[in-house]
Amino acid sequence: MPAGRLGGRVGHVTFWVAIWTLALGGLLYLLLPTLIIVVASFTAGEYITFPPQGLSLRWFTRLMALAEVRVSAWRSLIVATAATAVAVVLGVAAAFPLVRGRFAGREALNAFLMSPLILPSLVYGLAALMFVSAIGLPLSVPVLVLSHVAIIVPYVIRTTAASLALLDPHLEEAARSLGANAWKTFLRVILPNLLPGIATGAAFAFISSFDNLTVSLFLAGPRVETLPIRLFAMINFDFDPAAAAISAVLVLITFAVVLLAHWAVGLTRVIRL
Amino acid sequence: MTPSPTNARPDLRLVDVSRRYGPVTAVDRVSLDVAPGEFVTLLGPSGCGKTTLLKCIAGFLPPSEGQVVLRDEVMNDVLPHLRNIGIVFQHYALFPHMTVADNVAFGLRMRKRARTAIAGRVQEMLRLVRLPGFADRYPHQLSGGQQQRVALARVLAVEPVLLLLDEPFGALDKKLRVEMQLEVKQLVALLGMTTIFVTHDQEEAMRMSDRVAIMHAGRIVQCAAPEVIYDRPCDLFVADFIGSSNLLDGRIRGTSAGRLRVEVAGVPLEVPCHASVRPAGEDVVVMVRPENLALSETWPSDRPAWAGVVSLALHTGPVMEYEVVVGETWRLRVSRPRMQVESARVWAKGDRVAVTVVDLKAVRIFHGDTAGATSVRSL
Amino acid sequence: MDRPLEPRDQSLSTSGARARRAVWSRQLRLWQLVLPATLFLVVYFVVPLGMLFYFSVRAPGVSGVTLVHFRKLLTDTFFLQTLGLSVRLSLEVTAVALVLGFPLAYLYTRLGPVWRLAILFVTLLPLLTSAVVRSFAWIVILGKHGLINTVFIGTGLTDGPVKLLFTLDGVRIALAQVQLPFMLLPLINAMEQLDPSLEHAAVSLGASQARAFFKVTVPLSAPGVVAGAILSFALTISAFITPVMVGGGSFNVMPTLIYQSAIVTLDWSTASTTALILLVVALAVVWGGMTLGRRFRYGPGSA
Repeated sequence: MPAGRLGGRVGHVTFWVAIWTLALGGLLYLLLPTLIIVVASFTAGEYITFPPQGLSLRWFTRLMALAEVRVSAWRSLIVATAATAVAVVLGVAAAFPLVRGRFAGREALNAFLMSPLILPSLVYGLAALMFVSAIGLPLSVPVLVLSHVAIIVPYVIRTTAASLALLDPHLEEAARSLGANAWKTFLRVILPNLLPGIATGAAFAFISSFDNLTVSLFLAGPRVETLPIRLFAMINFDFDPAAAAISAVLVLITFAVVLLAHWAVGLTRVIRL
Repeated sequence: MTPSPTNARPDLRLVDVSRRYGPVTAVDRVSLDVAPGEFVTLLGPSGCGKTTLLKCIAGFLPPSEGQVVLRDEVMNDVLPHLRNIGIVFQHYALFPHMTVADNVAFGLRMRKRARTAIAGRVQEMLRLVRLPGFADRYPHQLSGGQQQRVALARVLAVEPVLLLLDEPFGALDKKLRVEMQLEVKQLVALLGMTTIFVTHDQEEAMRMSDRVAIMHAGRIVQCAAPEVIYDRPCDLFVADFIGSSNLLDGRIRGTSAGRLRVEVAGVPLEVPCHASVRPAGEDVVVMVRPENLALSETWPSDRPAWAGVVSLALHTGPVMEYEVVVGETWRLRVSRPRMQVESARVWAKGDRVAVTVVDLKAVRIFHGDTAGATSVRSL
Repeated sequence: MDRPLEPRDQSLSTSGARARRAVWSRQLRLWQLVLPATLFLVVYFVVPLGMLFYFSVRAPGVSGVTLVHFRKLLTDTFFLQTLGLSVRLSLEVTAVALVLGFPLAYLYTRLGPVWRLAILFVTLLPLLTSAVVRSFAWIVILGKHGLINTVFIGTGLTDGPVKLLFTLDGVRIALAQVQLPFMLLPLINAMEQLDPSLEHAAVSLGASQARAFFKVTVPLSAPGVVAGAILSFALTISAFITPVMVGGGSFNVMPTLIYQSAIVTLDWSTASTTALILLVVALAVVWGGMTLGRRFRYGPGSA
């Protein structure tokens, strides 16, 4: 039946055209804002527009002159680095019992340690502010660091635990049977194999802390302004086009984090972490 | 090489070793002596406790009861890295971040050997496992067989008291598996290495071992040379687990002069038996290996025979496998070599045949019936 | 055993190498490693949430527990409208993310490694990009002289600029982009579990490609759809930055209410109560979704 066959072919083509159109539309939709903000930051005009009015580095140059941007960027770097360091120590240690341990309540403990991931960070920011005021701590960098640790420690636990779960448990037994004690087994065999996972988790944790606005909004206070807060103010209140230059830099850092994750464990595995 | 286990001081002695997980007993009062240079296999279906027992020997699990003794020293409280036991794992557990040379050197470094001595030993071991040019490769760059050899070189480098092989050939394809079995067997024999081999593959166990310990439900049910296990299984479980066999319900009809008269499918067999006199009328299970049955066209005059019809005839290469239906309910499995001088005949489906037992001495008789427990002892 | 057992020999040496022995119990217990992280989260996560709860059930002049804040908010028309808007917005955004995400996830499982990598890259980059930056980008795109209006006016589609920035539509567009990665990743993970030969089987039995897709792949991907929808909904209803920046204060959603009560009017009780109501709604959807998701699971592992 040629007519039926033709109909079938038309249906087939329509189906794939529809799938591809929606999918490519989705891809473009995902990519567009990032792309546009980077391109727009090179504008030579007085406002951030797309397409940009001529190309120049004037807004990047202006960034250098903005002292408060420099200070807040430096502060964000310190907060994110410190928070990541603490989160890595806590998270890597916690991942071991969660994967290899055999004790009652392991699943529940895992769910508990992951719970900051699903709690709206705005709600956590409010709660942390109440907690900090109740015990009388002044709003300061250490307070900010600790609150960031609470929301990023799950990333480290997850990626470390996922890498550990993929690691052949027999490696440990092999090392022990060859004469390595528990400590040497950890340092020489387990840790080197977990490093990619830990690095990926640490990179995600770092970027989450570095980009965090909602928790910082509550806990930063006027004297501990972070870069996202400065950027937020520049866009919403100052209408400063240099914000696009900062955004472009932030996109670049994110780009580096994604590349690091790809280099360390491969993106196809990252999404299962 | 079949060392006599009772004479020499055993390299490994297990004394009533048990291991429980809560209410579950994974290993149940296992005792075993392994003589120096002996190759003993723990064979059993998955979940029989063989891997748990291996972990108790290696020190990854403390036994709940009993003693693990290595060269006269009780090892129960000794941490695994101080036991000097080498293990080759199923997936080799090569350290993925280290080169072949670093993998082989690992145990030596842990023992703080001199750098030059380590380098020399690594070269020597790689030559031994026929991988001399592979020192700088990483495990993922090697084939399965090569990884296996590196794993062997890594444990043998530290000259362990005891070598444990935990299903080491499971990940290899069939042809390579047989090659590696021969290679490992020759290597451990060459080095006189005392070896415990864990597997669920009976052919592998038979081919490689001096003795095979059959494990079932946490216990060693029979430990003997491979041919003894095959020819004289101690109970129905072993009979059923090792090789293929016809397990047939029978009934004792009487005893006479060391012979047991057993009726199976309406045919009386006179089986030589040294066991005590059994009451007539007792139900038993009769084990006849398929290769112990023969088919013929004509009715034999000198021995009892079953009359049957061939219902299946399968070629397996060297051997023909038949299923013969006798009466209403009996199905006998028969395997005959194809290149046989006396009866070159190959049967086909539907042929009417007479089935006879080749050697009545090889027929085994067990208590009970085929539906009952399999742990009953042989007569 | 075919050999008699020798009697248990108690005289075997146990003293020889006692020096190099350690007892099992002296080993560091593995589970203790989980303690620092747990204690930290108890102090710095559970206690603050407890305080949130405390503020929501206490009122000045009232001793003990009171539900006065909940009563006040849940009878307030403005609050209920905001809650309704938040829920509706989250459902709409989730639906858009699903419609765009499903075909993309489907293609992901059928394309080669280069395409896969490209899709993952394009998914992860916005996922990890600061929400402030992404919202700023949408301001540039949606604004009066932004990309969309340039294209619309340039092609003669409209005469004057369309107002998108500082409208609910603009926020919908921006939020759906933010949520698309969270929809995609569970979908991809779920669809990767599916055997591609299932669809081949359907086609070989006479189904068209489209029928095979809708009758086989779509139902079997339901667990991924549910997981993605739960995540997307929960994150949208608690989204703060995008509604503030792209919405420009032209309307309120639950998170902006929380922020205003906490920081602008300094009414911590109202802020806490709003936050708890938001949490309850989000958790109800997560719970409901998970219950629903369990129905769609087939084969081994279904419970």
